[in-house]
Amino acid sequence: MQETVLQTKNLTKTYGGGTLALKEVSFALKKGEMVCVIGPSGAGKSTLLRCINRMIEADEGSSVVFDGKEITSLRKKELAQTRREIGMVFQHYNLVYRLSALENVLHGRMGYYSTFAGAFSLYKKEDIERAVELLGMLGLEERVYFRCANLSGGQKQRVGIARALIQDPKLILCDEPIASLDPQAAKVIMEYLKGISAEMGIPCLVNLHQVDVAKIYADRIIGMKDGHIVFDGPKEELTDKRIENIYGAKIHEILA
Amino acid sequence: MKFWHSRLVNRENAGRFFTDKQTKRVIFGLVFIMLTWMSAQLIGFELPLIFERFQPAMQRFVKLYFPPLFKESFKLIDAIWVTFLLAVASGTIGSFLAYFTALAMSRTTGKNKVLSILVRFVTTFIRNVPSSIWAIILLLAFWFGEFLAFLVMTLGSFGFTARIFADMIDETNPDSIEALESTGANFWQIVAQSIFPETLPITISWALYSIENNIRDATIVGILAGGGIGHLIGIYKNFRRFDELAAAVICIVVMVLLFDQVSMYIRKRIL
Repeated sequence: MQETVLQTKNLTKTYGGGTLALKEVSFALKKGEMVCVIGPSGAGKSTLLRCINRMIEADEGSSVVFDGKEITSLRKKELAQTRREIGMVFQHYNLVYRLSALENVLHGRMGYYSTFAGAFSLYKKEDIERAVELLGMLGLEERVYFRCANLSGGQKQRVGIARALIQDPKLILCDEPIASLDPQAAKVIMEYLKGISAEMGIPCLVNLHQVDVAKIYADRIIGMKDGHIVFDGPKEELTDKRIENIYGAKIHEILA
Repeated sequence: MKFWHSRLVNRENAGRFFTDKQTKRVIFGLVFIMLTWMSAQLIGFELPLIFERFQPAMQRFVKLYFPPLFKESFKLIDAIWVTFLLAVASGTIGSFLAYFTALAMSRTTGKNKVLSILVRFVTTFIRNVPSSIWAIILLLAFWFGEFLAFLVMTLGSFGFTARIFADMIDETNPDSIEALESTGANFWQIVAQSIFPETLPITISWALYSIENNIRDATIVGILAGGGIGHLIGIYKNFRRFDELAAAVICIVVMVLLFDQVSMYIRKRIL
Protein backbone atom coordinates (compact mmCIF):
# COMPACT_ATOMS: atom_id res chain seq x y z
CA MET A 1 0.00 0.00 0.00
CA GLN A 2 1.46 3.31 -1.12
CA GLU A 3 1.40 6.23 1.30
CA THR A 4 -1.15 8.97 0.76
CA VAL A 5 0.37 12.36 -0.08
CA LEU A 6 -2.78 14.38 -0.53
CA GLN A 7 -6.27 13.96 0.81
CA THR A 8 -9.09 16.44 0.25
CA LYS A 9 -12.40 16.26 2.08
CA ASN A 10 -15.51 18.29 1.34
CA LEU A 11 -13.46 20.77 -0.67
CA THR A 12 -15.95 23.48 -1.58
CA LYS A 13 -15.42 26.82 -3.28
CA THR A 14 -18.04 29.49 -3.86
CA TYR A 15 -16.94 32.53 -5.83
CA GLY A 16 -18.23 36.00 -5.08
CA GLY A 17 -21.65 36.27 -6.67
CA GLY A 18 -22.59 32.80 -5.49
CA THR A 19 -21.08 30.74 -8.32
CA LEU A 20 -20.40 27.30 -6.95
CA ALA A 21 -17.10 26.17 -8.50
CA LEU A 22 -16.41 23.14 -6.32
CA LYS A 23 -18.86 21.15 -4.28
CA GLU A 24 -17.67 18.72 -1.62
CA VAL A 25 -14.79 17.32 -3.61
CA SER A 26 -13.04 14.46 -1.85
CA PHE A 27 -10.21 12.41 -3.27
CA ALA A 28 -6.80 11.06 -2.33
CA LEU A 29 -3.49 11.02 -4.15
CA LYS A 30 -0.81 8.41 -3.46
CA LYS A 31 2.93 8.53 -3.89
CA GLY A 32 4.04 8.02 -7.49
CA GLU A 33 0.53 8.29 -8.87
CA MET A 34 -0.31 10.14 -12.06
CA VAL A 35 -3.87 11.35 -11.92
CA CYS A 36 -5.53 13.24 -14.75
CA VAL A 37 -8.55 15.44 -14.11
CA ILE A 38 -10.84 15.76 -17.10
CA GLY A 39 -14.07 17.64 -17.61
CA PRO A 40 -15.63 20.44 -19.63
CA SER A 41 -14.53 24.05 -19.29
CA GLY A 42 -15.94 25.56 -16.12
CA ALA A 43 -16.20 22.20 -14.36
CA GLY A 44 -13.83 23.43 -11.65
CA LYS A 45 -10.59 21.69 -12.65
CA SER A 46 -8.41 24.79 -12.33
CA THR A 47 -10.13 25.87 -9.13
CA LEU A 48 -9.54 22.41 -7.65
CA LEU A 49 -5.82 22.60 -8.37
CA ARG A 50 -5.45 26.10 -6.99
CA CYS A 51 -7.40 25.31 -3.82
CA ILE A 52 -4.83 22.65 -2.98
CA ASN A 53 -1.93 25.12 -2.58
CA ARG A 54 -4.33 27.93 -1.68
CA MET A 55 -3.65 30.14 -4.67
CA ILE A 56 -7.44 30.27 -4.32
CA GLU A 57 -8.93 30.10 -0.83
CA ALA A 58 -11.48 27.32 -0.40
CA ASP A 59 -14.67 27.80 1.62
CA GLU A 60 -14.89 27.28 5.36
CA GLY A 61 -15.21 23.61 6.26
CA SER A 62 -13.04 22.33 3.43
CA SER A 63 -10.13 20.10 4.30
CA VAL A 64 -6.90 19.56 2.37
CA VAL A 65 -4.34 17.36 4.07
CA PHE A 66 -0.96 17.40 2.37
CA ASP A 67 1.94 15.39 3.78
CA GLY A 68 0.14 15.10 7.11
CA LYS A 69 -0.56 18.84 7.43
CA GLU A 70 -3.93 20.52 7.23
CA ILE A 71 -3.29 23.19 4.59
CA THR A 72 -6.50 25.17 5.00
CA SER A 73 -5.58 26.29 8.52
CA LEU A 74 -1.96 27.28 7.85
CA ARG A 75 -0.81 30.81 8.50
CA LYS A 76 0.87 32.96 5.87
CA LYS A 77 4.42 31.95 6.72
CA GLU A 78 3.64 28.26 7.17
CA LEU A 79 1.72 28.33 3.91
CA ALA A 80 4.73 29.74 2.04
CA GLN A 81 6.87 27.00 3.60
CA THR A 82 4.39 24.33 2.52
CA ARG A 83 4.15 25.76 -1.00
CA ARG A 84 7.87 25.10 -1.38
CA GLU A 85 7.02 21.40 -1.42
CA ILE A 86 4.31 21.65 -4.08
CA GLY A 87 5.45 22.24 -7.64
CA MET A 88 3.15 23.84 -10.16
CA VAL A 89 3.17 23.71 -13.96
CA PHE A 90 0.96 26.08 -15.92
CA GLN A 91 -0.73 26.20 -19.32
CA HIS A 92 0.96 29.50 -20.20
CA TYR A 93 4.26 28.43 -18.59
CA ASN A 94 4.19 31.53 -16.34
CA LEU A 95 7.86 32.31 -16.81
CA VAL A 96 9.55 35.67 -16.50
CA TYR A 97 10.28 36.08 -20.18
CA ARG A 98 13.02 38.65 -19.90
CA LEU A 99 15.09 36.36 -17.67
CA SER A 100 17.13 33.35 -18.72
CA ALA A 101 15.99 29.75 -18.43
CA LEU A 102 18.48 29.30 -15.56
CA GLU A 103 17.09 32.22 -13.56
CA ASN A 104 13.55 30.98 -14.08
CA VAL A 105 14.43 27.52 -12.83
CA LEU A 106 16.07 29.02 -9.73
CA HIS A 107 12.79 30.79 -8.94
CA GLY A 108 11.72 27.36 -7.72
CA ARG A 109 14.13 27.73 -4.78
CA MET A 110 12.94 31.23 -3.85
CA GLY A 111 11.06 30.05 -0.77
CA TYR A 112 14.33 28.83 0.77
CA TYR A 113 16.06 32.21 0.57
CA SER A 114 15.82 35.32 2.69
CA THR A 115 14.04 38.30 1.14
CA PHE A 116 17.35 40.00 0.44
CA ALA A 117 19.17 37.00 -1.01
CA GLY A 118 16.14 36.06 -3.09
CA ALA A 119 15.53 39.55 -4.40
CA PHE A 120 19.16 40.02 -5.45
CA SER A 121 19.60 36.49 -6.87
CA LEU A 122 22.30 35.48 -4.37
CA TYR A 123 21.76 31.78 -5.06
CA LYS A 124 23.79 29.00 -3.49
CA LYS A 125 26.29 27.25 -5.71
CA GLU A 126 24.64 23.87 -5.27
CA ASP A 127 21.26 25.29 -6.32
CA ILE A 128 22.74 26.77 -9.48
CA GLU A 129 24.46 23.51 -10.31
CA ARG A 130 21.25 21.58 -9.69
CA ALA A 131 19.33 23.98 -11.96
CA VAL A 132 21.81 23.42 -14.79
CA GLU A 133 21.64 19.67 -14.20
CA LEU A 134 17.83 19.69 -14.36
CA LEU A 135 17.83 21.75 -17.56
CA GLY A 136 20.23 19.17 -18.98
CA MET A 137 17.95 16.32 -17.91
CA LEU A 138 15.12 18.00 -19.78
CA GLY A 139 17.21 18.39 -22.93
CA LEU A 140 17.80 22.12 -22.55
CA GLU A 141 21.56 22.05 -21.92
CA GLU A 142 22.08 24.44 -24.84
CA ARG A 143 19.37 26.83 -23.70
CA VAL A 144 20.54 27.50 -20.13
CA TYR A 145 21.41 31.17 -20.71
CA PHE A 146 18.72 31.85 -23.32
CA ARG A 147 16.06 34.38 -22.54
CA CYS A 148 12.78 32.54 -22.07
CA ALA A 149 11.11 34.84 -24.58
CA ASN A 150 13.28 33.24 -27.27
CA LEU A 151 12.34 29.64 -26.44
CA SER A 152 9.68 27.56 -28.20
CA GLY A 153 6.47 26.58 -26.42
CA GLY A 154 7.70 23.10 -25.60
CA GLN A 155 11.01 24.44 -24.32
CA LYS A 156 9.22 27.01 -22.15
CA GLN A 157 7.12 24.26 -20.61
CA ARG A 158 10.26 22.21 -19.91
CA VAL A 159 11.72 25.21 -18.08
CA GLY A 160 8.44 25.29 -16.14
CA ILE A 161 8.87 21.61 -15.24
CA ALA A 162 12.49 22.21 -14.19
CA ARG A 163 11.30 25.06 -11.95
CA ALA A 164 8.85 22.66 -10.30
CA LEU A 165 11.45 19.87 -9.97
CA ILE A 166 14.12 22.03 -8.34
CA GLN A 167 11.66 22.53 -5.48
CA ASP A 168 12.16 18.81 -4.65
CA PRO A 169 8.38 18.71 -4.47
CA LYS A 170 6.27 16.05 -2.81
CA LEU A 171 3.49 16.84 -5.28
CA ILE A 172 3.26 18.47 -8.68
CA LEU A 173 0.11 20.23 -9.84
CA CYS A 174 -0.21 20.71 -13.61
CA ASP A 175 -2.85 23.05 -14.97
CA GLU A 176 -3.46 22.19 -18.64
CA PRO A 177 0.27 21.67 -19.26
CA ILE A 178 -0.14 20.80 -22.95
CA ALA A 179 -3.09 22.97 -23.98
CA SER A 180 -0.87 25.53 -25.76
CA LEU A 181 1.56 23.08 -27.32
CA ASP A 182 1.80 21.35 -30.68
CA PRO A 183 1.16 17.58 -30.62
CA GLN A 184 4.83 16.64 -30.70
CA ALA A 185 5.85 18.98 -27.86
CA ALA A 186 2.75 17.84 -25.96
CA LYS A 187 3.89 14.24 -26.15
CA VAL A 188 7.37 15.16 -24.87
CA ILE A 189 5.88 17.01 -21.90
CA MET A 190 3.48 14.18 -21.03
CA GLU A 191 6.34 11.65 -21.20
CA TYR A 192 8.37 13.77 -18.78
CA LEU A 193 5.44 14.09 -16.37
CA LYS A 194 4.86 10.34 -16.56
CA GLY A 195 8.53 9.77 -15.84
CA ILE A 196 8.45 12.14 -12.89
CA SER A 197 5.58 10.28 -11.27
CA ALA A 198 6.70 6.74 -12.10
CA GLU A 199 10.47 7.03 -11.62
CA MET A 200 10.89 9.86 -9.12
CA GLY A 201 7.78 8.84 -7.21
CA ILE A 202 6.39 12.39 -7.22
CA PRO A 203 2.62 12.27 -7.66
CA CYS A 204 1.26 14.49 -10.43
CA LEU A 205 -2.24 15.90 -10.58
CA VAL A 206 -2.78 16.95 -14.18
CA ASN A 207 -5.74 18.89 -15.59
CA LEU A 208 -6.37 17.93 -19.18
CA HIS A 209 -8.78 18.70 -21.96
CA GLN A 210 -7.72 15.73 -24.05
CA VAL A 211 -9.51 12.56 -22.92
CA ASP A 212 -7.37 10.38 -25.20
CA VAL A 213 -4.17 11.76 -23.66
CA ALA A 214 -5.51 11.11 -20.18
CA LYS A 215 -6.31 7.53 -21.17
CA ILE A 216 -2.74 6.96 -22.35
CA TYR A 217 -0.79 8.48 -19.47
CA ALA A 218 -2.95 8.47 -16.34
CA ASP A 219 -2.86 5.79 -13.70
CA ARG A 220 -6.19 7.08 -12.55
CA ILE A 221 -8.69 9.50 -14.02
CA ILE A 222 -10.97 11.90 -12.20
CA GLY A 223 -13.92 13.22 -14.16
CA MET A 224 -15.45 16.51 -13.08
CA LYS A 225 -18.70 18.16 -13.98
CA ASP A 226 -20.25 21.29 -12.44
CA GLY A 227 -17.85 21.22 -9.49
CA HIS A 228 -18.50 17.58 -8.62
CA ILE A 229 -16.41 14.49 -9.08
CA VAL A 230 -18.57 12.27 -11.27
CA PHE A 231 -15.93 9.65 -11.99
CA ASP A 232 -12.86 8.50 -10.08
CA GLY A 233 -11.18 5.30 -11.10
CA PRO A 234 -8.53 3.55 -13.18
CA LYS A 235 -8.49 4.53 -16.85
CA GLU A 236 -9.82 1.13 -17.91
CA GLU A 237 -13.10 1.91 -16.23
CA LEU A 238 -13.59 5.14 -18.17
CA THR A 239 -16.12 3.87 -20.67
CA ASP A 240 -17.76 5.88 -23.45
CA LYS A 241 -20.89 5.99 -21.33
CA ARG A 242 -18.96 7.63 -18.47
CA ILE A 243 -17.28 10.11 -20.81
CA GLU A 244 -20.73 11.05 -22.08
CA ASN A 245 -21.79 11.64 -18.50
CA ILE A 246 -18.75 13.85 -17.74
CA TYR A 247 -19.12 16.07 -20.80
CA GLY A 248 -22.90 16.01 -20.96
CA ALA A 249 -22.80 15.21 -24.67
CA LYS A 250 -23.04 12.16 -26.92
CA ILE A 251 -19.72 10.39 -27.59
CA HIS A 252 -19.84 11.18 -31.35
CA GLU A 253 -20.01 14.88 -30.47
CA ILE A 254 -16.75 14.68 -28.51
CA LEU A 255 -13.31 14.71 -30.08
CA ALA A 256 -11.79 12.04 -27.89
CA MET B 1 -23.42 18.60 -42.54
CA LYS B 2 -25.09 18.62 -39.22
CA PHE B 3 -23.47 21.79 -37.80
CA TRP B 4 -24.00 23.88 -40.92
CA HIS B 5 -27.05 25.85 -39.89
CA SER B 6 -28.41 28.27 -42.45
CA ARG B 7 -29.80 31.28 -40.67
CA LEU B 8 -31.82 34.13 -42.08
CA VAL B 9 -29.48 37.15 -42.28
CA ASN B 10 -30.96 40.62 -42.58
CA ARG B 11 -28.79 42.29 -45.21
CA GLU B 12 -30.37 45.71 -44.91
CA ASN B 13 -29.38 45.93 -41.25
CA ALA B 14 -25.73 45.30 -42.11
CA GLY B 15 -25.76 48.19 -44.59
CA ARG B 16 -27.32 50.49 -42.02
CA PHE B 17 -24.50 49.72 -39.61
CA PHE B 18 -22.14 51.81 -41.77
CA THR B 19 -24.53 54.66 -42.59
CA ASP B 20 -25.19 55.01 -38.85
CA LYS B 21 -21.49 55.14 -38.15
CA GLN B 22 -20.90 57.82 -40.82
CA THR B 23 -23.81 59.94 -39.55
CA LYS B 24 -22.27 59.86 -36.09
CA ARG B 25 -18.95 61.07 -37.47
CA VAL B 26 -20.56 64.00 -39.32
CA ILE B 27 -22.51 65.04 -36.21
CA PHE B 28 -19.34 64.86 -34.12
CA GLY B 29 -17.46 67.06 -36.61
CA LEU B 30 -20.24 69.66 -36.68
CA VAL B 31 -20.40 69.83 -32.88
CA PHE B 32 -16.64 70.32 -32.77
CA ILE B 33 -16.72 73.25 -35.23
CA MET B 34 -19.69 74.82 -33.39
CA LEU B 35 -17.85 74.65 -30.05
CA THR B 36 -14.73 76.29 -31.50
CA TRP B 37 -16.74 79.10 -33.06
CA MET B 38 -18.82 79.65 -29.90
CA SER B 39 -15.82 79.87 -27.60
CA ALA B 40 -14.08 82.29 -30.02
CA GLN B 41 -17.16 84.50 -29.87
CA LEU B 42 -17.37 84.33 -26.09
CA ILE B 43 -13.81 85.52 -25.46
CA GLY B 44 -14.03 88.14 -28.21
CA PHE B 45 -11.38 86.48 -30.29
CA GLU B 46 -11.52 87.80 -33.83
CA LEU B 47 -10.03 85.34 -36.28
CA PRO B 48 -9.29 87.85 -39.09
CA LEU B 49 -6.98 89.77 -36.78
CA ILE B 50 -4.54 86.85 -36.79
CA PHE B 51 -3.88 87.48 -40.47
CA GLU B 52 -4.04 91.29 -40.25
CA ARG B 53 -1.54 91.65 -37.44
CA PHE B 54 0.65 88.72 -38.37
CA GLN B 55 3.18 90.72 -40.36
CA PRO B 56 3.95 93.49 -37.82
CA ALA B 57 4.17 90.92 -35.04
CA MET B 58 6.67 88.87 -37.00
CA GLN B 59 8.73 91.96 -37.77
CA ARG B 60 8.91 92.87 -34.08
CA PHE B 61 9.84 89.29 -33.21
CA VAL B 62 12.71 89.21 -35.71
CA LYS B 63 13.95 92.62 -34.60
CA LEU B 64 14.08 91.59 -30.96
CA TYR B 65 15.60 88.13 -31.20
CA PHE B 66 17.70 88.07 -34.36
CA PRO B 67 20.49 87.50 -34.77
CA PRO B 68 20.97 85.46 -31.58
CA LEU B 69 24.03 86.69 -29.72
CA PHE B 70 26.38 84.11 -28.20
CA LYS B 71 28.21 86.67 -26.08
CA GLU B 72 28.72 84.81 -22.79
CA SER B 73 29.36 81.40 -24.36
CA PHE B 74 31.25 80.06 -21.35
CA LYS B 75 28.49 81.07 -18.96
CA LEU B 76 25.92 79.56 -21.31
CA ILE B 77 27.69 76.21 -21.55
CA ASP B 78 28.13 76.13 -17.78
CA ALA B 79 24.43 76.87 -17.26
CA ILE B 80 23.25 74.25 -19.75
CA TRP B 81 25.53 71.69 -18.05
CA VAL B 82 23.96 72.50 -14.68
CA THR B 83 20.52 72.18 -16.28
CA PHE B 84 21.44 68.81 -17.71
CA LEU B 85 22.68 67.55 -14.33
CA LEU B 86 19.58 68.87 -12.59
CA ALA B 87 17.33 67.19 -15.15
CA VAL B 88 19.12 63.84 -14.88
CA ALA B 89 19.23 63.89 -11.09
CA SER B 90 15.58 64.89 -10.65
CA GLY B 91 14.41 62.56 -13.41
CA THR B 92 16.15 59.48 -12.01
CA ILE B 93 15.35 60.17 -8.35
CA GLY B 94 11.74 61.09 -9.19
CA SER B 95 11.30 57.90 -11.25
CA PHE B 96 12.99 55.78 -8.59
CA LEU B 97 10.61 57.00 -5.89
CA ALA B 98 7.71 56.75 -8.32
CA TYR B 99 8.43 53.06 -8.95
CA PHE B 100 7.93 52.21 -5.27
CA THR B 101 4.87 54.40 -5.08
CA ALA B 102 3.50 52.67 -8.17
CA LEU B 103 3.91 49.30 -6.42
CA ALA B 104 1.55 50.54 -3.72
CA MET B 105 -0.83 52.07 -6.27
CA SER B 106 -1.10 49.17 -8.73
CA ARG B 107 -3.98 46.74 -8.48
CA THR B 108 -1.60 43.81 -9.00
CA THR B 109 0.80 44.62 -6.17
CA GLY B 110 -1.02 47.13 -3.94
CA LYS B 111 -2.61 44.75 -1.48
CA ASN B 112 -3.21 47.39 1.18
CA LYS B 113 -6.31 49.25 0.03
CA VAL B 114 -5.97 52.16 2.48
CA LEU B 115 -2.35 52.78 1.55
CA SER B 116 -3.22 52.46 -2.14
CA ILE B 117 -5.96 55.12 -1.95
CA LEU B 118 -3.80 57.43 0.17
CA VAL B 119 -0.84 57.19 -2.21
CA ARG B 120 -3.11 57.66 -5.22
CA PHE B 121 -4.51 60.83 -3.70
CA VAL B 122 -1.08 62.27 -2.91
CA THR B 123 0.39 61.53 -6.34
CA THR B 124 -2.69 62.86 -8.13
CA PHE B 125 -2.33 66.07 -6.15
CA ILE B 126 1.40 66.39 -6.93
CA ARG B 127 0.79 65.64 -10.58
CA ASN B 128 -2.01 68.13 -11.03
CA VAL B 129 -0.11 71.09 -9.64
CA PRO B 130 2.03 72.39 -12.54
CA SER B 131 5.75 72.72 -11.89
CA SER B 132 5.62 76.51 -12.23
CA ILE B 133 3.13 76.64 -9.36
CA TRP B 134 5.30 74.26 -7.30
CA ALA B 135 8.22 76.62 -7.88
CA ILE B 136 6.21 79.57 -6.57
CA ILE B 137 4.84 77.64 -3.58
CA LEU B 138 8.16 76.12 -2.55
CA LEU B 139 10.08 79.35 -3.05
CA LEU B 140 8.75 80.46 0.33
CA ALA B 141 10.14 77.43 2.14
CA PHE B 142 13.36 76.73 0.19
CA TRP B 143 15.71 79.41 -0.99
CA PHE B 144 16.00 80.40 -4.65
CA GLY B 145 18.60 78.29 -6.44
CA GLU B 146 19.60 74.90 -7.82
CA PHE B 147 18.18 72.86 -4.96
CA LEU B 148 14.73 74.36 -5.39
CA ALA B 149 14.86 73.73 -9.15
CA PHE B 150 15.88 70.13 -8.42
CA LEU B 151 13.03 69.71 -5.94
CA VAL B 152 10.42 71.13 -8.30
CA MET B 153 11.54 68.96 -11.21
CA THR B 154 11.70 65.87 -8.97
CA LEU B 155 8.08 66.46 -7.97
CA GLY B 156 7.17 66.83 -11.64
CA SER B 157 8.92 63.61 -12.67
CA PHE B 158 7.56 61.77 -9.66
CA GLY B 159 3.93 62.73 -10.19
CA PHE B 160 3.88 61.84 -13.83
CA THR B 161 5.93 58.64 -13.78
CA ALA B 162 4.15 57.27 -10.69
CA ARG B 163 0.90 57.21 -12.61
CA ILE B 164 2.49 55.68 -15.71
CA PHE B 165 4.40 53.06 -13.70
CA ALA B 166 1.24 52.04 -11.86
CA ASP B 167 -0.55 51.51 -15.18
CA MET B 168 2.50 49.68 -16.48
CA ILE B 169 2.55 47.29 -13.52
CA ASP B 170 -1.20 46.73 -13.94
CA GLU B 171 -0.63 45.74 -17.54
CA THR B 172 2.29 43.42 -16.82
CA ASN B 173 1.42 39.77 -17.32
CA PRO B 174 0.63 38.46 -13.82
CA ASP B 175 1.30 34.83 -14.77
CA SER B 176 4.86 34.75 -13.50
CA ILE B 177 3.75 36.37 -10.24
CA GLU B 178 1.38 33.45 -9.73
CA ALA B 179 4.19 30.99 -10.43
CA LEU B 180 6.52 32.64 -7.92
CA GLU B 181 3.78 32.77 -5.29
CA SER B 182 3.22 29.06 -5.78
CA THR B 183 6.88 28.34 -5.02
CA GLY B 184 6.63 30.17 -1.69
CA ALA B 185 8.29 33.46 -2.69
CA ASN B 186 7.41 36.56 -0.68
CA PHE B 187 6.31 40.01 -1.88
CA TRP B 188 9.72 41.68 -2.34
CA GLN B 189 11.18 38.58 -3.95
CA ILE B 190 8.32 38.61 -6.46
CA VAL B 191 8.80 42.33 -7.10
CA ALA B 192 12.53 41.92 -7.67
CA GLN B 193 12.39 38.68 -9.65
CA SER B 194 9.28 39.11 -11.76
CA ILE B 195 7.80 42.61 -11.85
CA PHE B 196 11.11 44.46 -12.00
CA PRO B 197 12.73 42.53 -14.87
CA GLU B 198 9.49 42.49 -16.88
CA THR B 199 8.97 46.25 -16.55
CA LEU B 200 12.61 47.38 -16.69
CA PRO B 201 12.76 48.47 -20.36
CA ILE B 202 9.55 50.50 -20.15
CA THR B 203 10.66 51.98 -16.84
CA ILE B 204 13.96 53.16 -18.30
CA SER B 205 12.18 54.47 -21.37
CA TRP B 206 9.83 56.62 -19.28
CA ALA B 207 12.61 57.77 -16.95
CA LEU B 208 14.49 59.00 -20.03
CA TYR B 209 11.38 60.75 -21.27
CA SER B 210 10.95 62.44 -17.91
CA ILE B 211 14.58 63.66 -18.08
CA GLU B 212 13.87 65.09 -21.54
CA ASN B 213 10.80 66.76 -20.12
CA ASN B 214 12.85 68.19 -17.27
CA ILE B 215 15.36 69.78 -19.66
CA ARG B 216 12.46 71.53 -21.37
CA ASP B 217 10.86 72.37 -18.03
CA ALA B 218 14.16 73.71 -16.71
CA THR B 219 13.57 76.99 -18.54
CA ILE B 220 10.42 78.04 -16.75
CA VAL B 221 11.47 76.39 -13.48
CA GLY B 222 14.81 78.17 -13.71
CA ILE B 223 13.17 81.54 -14.24
CA LEU B 224 10.93 81.03 -11.21
CA ALA B 225 13.13 78.97 -8.91
CA GLY B 226 16.66 79.67 -10.10
CA GLY B 227 19.35 77.33 -11.32
CA GLY B 228 20.77 76.43 -14.70
CA ILE B 229 19.88 77.90 -18.05
CA GLY B 230 16.45 79.03 -16.89
CA HIS B 231 18.01 81.34 -14.36
CA LEU B 232 20.13 82.87 -17.12
CA ILE B 233 17.05 83.30 -19.32
CA GLY B 234 15.33 85.09 -16.45
CA ILE B 235 18.26 87.51 -16.14
CA TYR B 236 18.36 88.17 -19.89
CA LYS B 237 14.63 88.80 -19.91
CA ASN B 238 14.79 91.26 -16.99
CA PHE B 239 17.62 93.20 -18.59
CA ARG B 240 15.96 93.09 -22.01
CA ARG B 241 18.93 91.29 -23.57
CA PHE B 242 16.68 89.48 -26.05
CA ASP B 243 19.35 88.51 -28.58
CA GLU B 244 21.23 86.68 -25.84
CA LEU B 245 17.98 85.14 -24.65
CA ALA B 246 17.49 83.74 -28.15
CA ALA B 247 20.97 82.19 -27.93
CA ALA B 248 20.04 80.53 -24.63
CA VAL B 249 16.83 79.14 -26.13
CA ILE B 250 18.82 77.72 -29.05
CA CYS B 251 21.14 76.03 -26.53
CA ILE B 252 18.15 74.34 -24.89
CA VAL B 253 16.75 73.18 -28.22
CA VAL B 254 20.14 71.72 -29.18
CA MET B 255 20.39 70.05 -25.76
CA VAL B 256 16.94 68.52 -26.08
CA LEU B 257 17.64 67.28 -29.60
CA LEU B 258 20.97 65.77 -28.53
CA PHE B 259 19.47 64.07 -25.50
CA ASP B 260 16.61 62.81 -27.66
CA GLN B 261 19.14 61.06 -29.90
CA VAL B 262 20.97 59.55 -26.94
CA SER B 263 17.82 58.29 -25.27
CA MET B 264 16.55 56.90 -28.56
CA TYR B 265 19.78 54.94 -28.89
CA ILE B 266 19.49 53.65 -25.31
CA ARG B 267 15.86 52.65 -25.90
CA LYS B 268 16.79 50.73 -29.03
CA ARG B 269 19.46 48.85 -27.15
CA ILE B 270 17.32 47.81 -24.19
CA LEU B 271 14.01 47.00 -25.90
